[in-house]
Amino acid sequence: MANPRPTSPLPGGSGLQRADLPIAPHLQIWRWTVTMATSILQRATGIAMYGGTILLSLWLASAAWSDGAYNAVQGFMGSWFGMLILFGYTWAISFHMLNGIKYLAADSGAGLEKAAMNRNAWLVFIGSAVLTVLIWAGVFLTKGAGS
Amino acid sequence: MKGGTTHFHMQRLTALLMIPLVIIFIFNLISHAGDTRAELLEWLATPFGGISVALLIVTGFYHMRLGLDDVIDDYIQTPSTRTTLHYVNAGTALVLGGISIWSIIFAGLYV
Repeated sequence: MANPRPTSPLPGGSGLQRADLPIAPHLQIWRWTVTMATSILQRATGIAMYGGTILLSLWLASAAWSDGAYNAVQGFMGSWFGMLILFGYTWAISFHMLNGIKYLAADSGAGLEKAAMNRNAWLVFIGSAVLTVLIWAGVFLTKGAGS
Repeated sequence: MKGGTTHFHMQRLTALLMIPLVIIFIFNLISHAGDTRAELLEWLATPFGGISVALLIVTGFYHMRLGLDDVIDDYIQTPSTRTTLHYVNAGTALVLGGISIWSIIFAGLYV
């Protein structure tokens, strides 16, 4: 089958063309693995939290700014949409932190075996869900819903 | 990207620092989620409240900036766009971090 990619010589004078290089399998043909999911989600939650942290800055700044600004931000955070964002943020930070700890452990050489990697990835998923529920239970139990 | 080793080490240093800082912050948030403005400012003006949030802001924004730099390096192929986005990324982290730190200092002056 003809390779559809444009032909251009590779540097180094080997005479090989760029089109001669092996093609990486496209993302869609991979079977999903749990470690692949945690890897992608680590980046996705990181990017999402960039946006969420703008809210944290707004919250702090509004408190310094004026009563009106603070009430507006608190009103938004207390709305269903604001709560949805905060809930997502809570899960994102739980996931990113637990998975990050997994990466720090892997950096030290621990838990690199396939079975351990898979087990730890599942633990990250379960742990982040449990942590999120615990945090929100804490908020509702100490403050009461809607405060 | 230049300075890759420093980037790697700082990313991990900030990650380690944030483990206790995030845990402290979560406990703080649970007890300050529904605060009035006066209550929040009063808490930010305490040494523990102010320092724990300020440290989280500094390490958090630095960590965020390093992380997004990686994302930019991975997905943006045009060198000029990449450089521009690195500037925007660093600028965003500095400005938001600065606003947050100012807000904490303000709380100390206000209360």
